[in-house]
Amino acid sequence: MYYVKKLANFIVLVWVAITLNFLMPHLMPGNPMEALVAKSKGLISPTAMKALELQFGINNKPLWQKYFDYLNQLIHGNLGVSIANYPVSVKTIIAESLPWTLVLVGVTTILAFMIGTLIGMVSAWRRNKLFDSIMGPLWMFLGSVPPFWLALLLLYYFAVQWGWFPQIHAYNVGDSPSWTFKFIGDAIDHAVLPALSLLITGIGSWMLAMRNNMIQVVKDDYVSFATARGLPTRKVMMTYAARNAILPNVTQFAITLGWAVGGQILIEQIFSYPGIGYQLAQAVTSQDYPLMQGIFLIISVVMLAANFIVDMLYVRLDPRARAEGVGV
Amino acid sequence: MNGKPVLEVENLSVCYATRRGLATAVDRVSFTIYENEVVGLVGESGCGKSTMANAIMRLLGDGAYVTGGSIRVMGQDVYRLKGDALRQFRWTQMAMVFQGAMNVLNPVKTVESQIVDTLLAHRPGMSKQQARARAEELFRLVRIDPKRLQSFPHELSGGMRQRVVIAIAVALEPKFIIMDEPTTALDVIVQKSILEQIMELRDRLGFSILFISHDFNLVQEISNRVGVMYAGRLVEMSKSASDLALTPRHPYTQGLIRAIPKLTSDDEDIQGIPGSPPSASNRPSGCAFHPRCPYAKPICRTVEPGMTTVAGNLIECHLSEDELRSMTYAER
Repeated sequence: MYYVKKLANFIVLVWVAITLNFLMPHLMPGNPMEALVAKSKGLISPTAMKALELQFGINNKPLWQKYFDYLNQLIHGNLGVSIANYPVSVKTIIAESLPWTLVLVGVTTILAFMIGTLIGMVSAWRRNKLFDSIMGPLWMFLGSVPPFWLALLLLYYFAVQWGWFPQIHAYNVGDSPSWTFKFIGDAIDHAVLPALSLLITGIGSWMLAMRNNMIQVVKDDYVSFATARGLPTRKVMMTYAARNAILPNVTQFAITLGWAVGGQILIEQIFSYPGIGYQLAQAVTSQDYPLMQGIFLIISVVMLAANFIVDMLYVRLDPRARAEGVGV
Repeated sequence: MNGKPVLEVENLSVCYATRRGLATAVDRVSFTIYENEVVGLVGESGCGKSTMANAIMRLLGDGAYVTGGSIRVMGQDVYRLKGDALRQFRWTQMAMVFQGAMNVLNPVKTVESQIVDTLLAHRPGMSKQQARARAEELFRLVRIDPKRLQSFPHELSGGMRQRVVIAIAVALEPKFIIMDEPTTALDVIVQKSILEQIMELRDRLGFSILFISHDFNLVQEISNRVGVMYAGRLVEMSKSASDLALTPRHPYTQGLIRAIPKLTSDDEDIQGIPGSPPSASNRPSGCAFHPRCPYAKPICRTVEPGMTTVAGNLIECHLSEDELRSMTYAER
């Protein structure tokens, strides 16, 4: 029952996201054609214009008809053609940039969550002891540093000044992506600085959240009862206290992981990292509506999917969620 | 009936560090519990009963400290145990059924795994299968269908959860169990069956109980002896729980008894004790009960009373035996 409800919920939300994504450009003044015409400064012939209009789906069909056309295209995996990169399709651009973002932001998000949670757990367990009084302020400070600022700093010193790491892109320009050790090593080399700027600034919030939850949970009766029963300290900390303290963070983690698809616009921009965020920024500056629309669609659907998956996992983590229908 | 002592509390003081200085929650309390004995401890909320229970288990939380005296369980000074020795000592020698047993089970683990955790923590040689078999045995002992072992705590009723907690308490057959308000959150009928369960287990397994409650009637029903706490002090320790009508009692205890409605009597005149108990950080001088005591004399305001033996009961009061006796009879 729980699963069916969540699945229905998910499907409805995806439909809403798709519909909004369709409607939004239609509510805006102008259309991509006008942008293209303005850009070409009147150099497009009327026949070419006609062809482009057909390709971009600009016609006088009623809105509902366009809506069904749009759904039909979506089902066939067609997200349209990019204006700025004409005639490359939006699908191709997303397919090329998404993996870079997913690996970079996904891995750093998971690492930040794991490291932050671990530090927060131990900090709360040894509240006001040495470990806590060092880790708390340290990560809180690093967490309040803007990632882009740290990125610029790292870029300046480690790449520009000392040249330890490459300055731009995700791999050596000129290479083409392949599954060779050389290429993978090269890609890791390129990812270190952007990953560090995200990781160092990302740990703090996870640590703080876990520490706060854990401090509350430690006061709960079941933790004292576990201690009273003479369970080993490690067991009390991990399977009684932390196991419960982590629950509220799981939801937050899913949302953050969902955001990974949206990319890190500033970080990717700074390192010219060819991920989704970089493409989105490019699309905005060049008024590439189809590309923006495609990226937004992917972001919203993946966000919803991430939440759906966590809903499914959450009942495994918290048996009460199924019974009470609470949870994420 | 005095056999070997299982719990010896001597001059125990427990203080809380507050912003306005130390607050004394338990104030120089001494008493002993012997083999196979049930000792009841009654008092109003905040009188220090639960703090004492936690002090015995060495579970005092943040900011609470034992500031004096000693606690020995089975002859072992609890506060001299270190690290793993303390961990091993807990539950094998002393166990505790917590107040509000609703929240003492981990909500994300099945009750079976929580029993198994407890067993394996103290029986390293035990296999998981053996621990599971023992859990089943324990469930039968407290009359729960072993099928419920796979349940999560939220799937069990309050009474069942309390039975699970009791099963965990007797899992390693300790000789001393603290029961801190074990039936408070339960309705009267469940309360009764849980009490019967506890007494049946005690007869079968032979352990001593320190039974903490605010319910005088309940304590009287099951205890061999009764202690009364007021404002951190043990103001009275009775020789036996019965004979209430005949024995002179501390004025506070009398107040407690009078506050209980009697079903058998036509007299509907229930009297509460006027005023409210003092806070731990602001204790009255002399006898802490004097602002609320109808029999207070000038000396009660200034001098702390010592322990005296009145008709076999230990009583901490300035009134003489005759005075206590006469006012006891004046009530009837």
